[in-house]
Amino acid sequence: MSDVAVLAENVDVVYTGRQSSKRALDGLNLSISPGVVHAILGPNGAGKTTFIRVATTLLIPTSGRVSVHGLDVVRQAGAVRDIIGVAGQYATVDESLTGRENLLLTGTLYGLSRDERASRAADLLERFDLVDAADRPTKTYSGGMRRRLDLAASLTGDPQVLFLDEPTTGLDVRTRNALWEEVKAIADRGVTIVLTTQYLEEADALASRISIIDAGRVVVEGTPAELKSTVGEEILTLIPVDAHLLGNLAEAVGGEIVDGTVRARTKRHGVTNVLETALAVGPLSSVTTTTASLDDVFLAYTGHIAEEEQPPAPTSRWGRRR
Amino acid sequence: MSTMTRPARTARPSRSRRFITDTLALAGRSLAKFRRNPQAIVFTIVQPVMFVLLFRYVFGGAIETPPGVDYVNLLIPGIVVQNALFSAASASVAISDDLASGFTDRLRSLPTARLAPLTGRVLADTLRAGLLVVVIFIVGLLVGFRPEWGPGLLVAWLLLMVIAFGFAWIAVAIGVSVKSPEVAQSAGFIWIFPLTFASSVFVPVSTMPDWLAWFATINPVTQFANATRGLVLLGEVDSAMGWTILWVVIFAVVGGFLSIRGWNRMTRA
Repeated sequence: MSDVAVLAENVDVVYTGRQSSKRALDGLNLSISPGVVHAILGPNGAGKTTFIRVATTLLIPTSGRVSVHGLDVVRQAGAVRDIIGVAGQYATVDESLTGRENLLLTGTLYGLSRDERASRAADLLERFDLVDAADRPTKTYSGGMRRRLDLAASLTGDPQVLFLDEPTTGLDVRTRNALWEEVKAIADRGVTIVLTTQYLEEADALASRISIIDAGRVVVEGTPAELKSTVGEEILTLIPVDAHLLGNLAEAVGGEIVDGTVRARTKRHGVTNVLETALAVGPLSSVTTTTASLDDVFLAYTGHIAEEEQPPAPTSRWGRRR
Repeated sequence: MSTMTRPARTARPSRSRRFITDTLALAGRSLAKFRRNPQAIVFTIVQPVMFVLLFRYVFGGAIETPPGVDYVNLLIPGIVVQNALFSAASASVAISDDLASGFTDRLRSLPTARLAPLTGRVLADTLRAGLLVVVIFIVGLLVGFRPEWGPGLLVAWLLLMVIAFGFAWIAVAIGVSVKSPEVAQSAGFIWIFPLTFASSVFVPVSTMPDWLAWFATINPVTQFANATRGLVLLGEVDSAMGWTILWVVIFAVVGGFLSIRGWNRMTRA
């Protein structure tokens, strides 16, 4: 048993094109503990998908080393493939096969016997609520059903580590929430989950550890609470009883007027100071405090706002987005 | 830790056993894809039937044949060769589609036998070519084609699948080296037209201008068509058989080499 599920050491990936080359990973270091959900959060082009491709043996890094439960993803690629599962942004199921046939095919490729793959497929169809649709071609499936089947397929080999590359990109909110529940259920069974996402909300909802990556390296790592506290700002929203005092209040606490309220930012220990200053101006009818969100953390570390984007085109086999 | 307490899996089959299992499973998947796509089936069959009818009834009368030989008897063995090649060529698009859709990535992240996605595809297209040949043969019989009934027919059928096998490797090599299914669509088929028309498939080579006749004579498709004609019309092994085998080996070896090289390079940044 190894103490680390996924270990990345100084990983560089440089894509060399004819005219130019692009550094997708730049000295990435990452250590993921067994049994946790670890989110890799970053903007488009940060290197999330590239990292997943390296860790799942699809891409050989230019330099550095990645191992899964102590197995090197380059030299022991075959052994790594036996213990991982991968589900992606694009549900990679065969459209003309039925749901069950897709799972049976995956079972065959994992080297399961005929009986094993039949019972595994039946279990997974049941678990992912696909029994009714099991014998229909997957081209008749909805987006959410496809993702569920994709997830089921990734569990066929009973993986120790499951890689989910932007699993909810392009899904509507309801389907996304349903998928989150599935992911939590998988995590409850003790499977290590490595999840990439560009949605802060997703990382916050699912992960017990988050690594924020930008430009091919990890810029900060911690639990969601730790990350929020590293930015450490509290936002106070104050409403004076006397609306005429808005201007004076804003000036006194160094805040700004937003929709009839005064918003002031302060370090956590500064909250009482701000309140005292505010009360010196006049009585308040309302006080609200908000802790910085992961959005703020993201902005602070990457210098840009997390984007809500349409799903990009499928990655080409070169690992770059087309 | 609960992650480590996993049910024991039955003993893994040997490498070669898994290669065969995975090849068959993936060939089955490719054939199912074809079988369940009625449009693909219709177009795969309609096109050769149109060629048969077009050349049998529209152009056939204008094409001179040796005395005592019906044009349709020369045509059908030629058209089956053309279609064995067409069938094989579709591998380039299929391989490219799987690469673009991410299906290949999934296969490669599983403990799939390394080359099984390629060999499975080649096997599927070879069998599909065999099926198409039978269909054209039957259509041929309906429009007046009269073969020499005997074991030569069976040998010819196997030969056509061997030819499809060799060409499928060239198609796979194209599929792994182009960047999109659209390119694969044109790159995969464009070479078939000059190769099949500048050959003895539809017209006697002797009617062509010298420079073209020279090309048509060394054209492997001419050798394929002549070898097939020897078998189905006379039940004999024609002298073109030697060239046919040589060409097929060359295509399989060169195509196989380029396919495997391209496949293995995909893990490079």
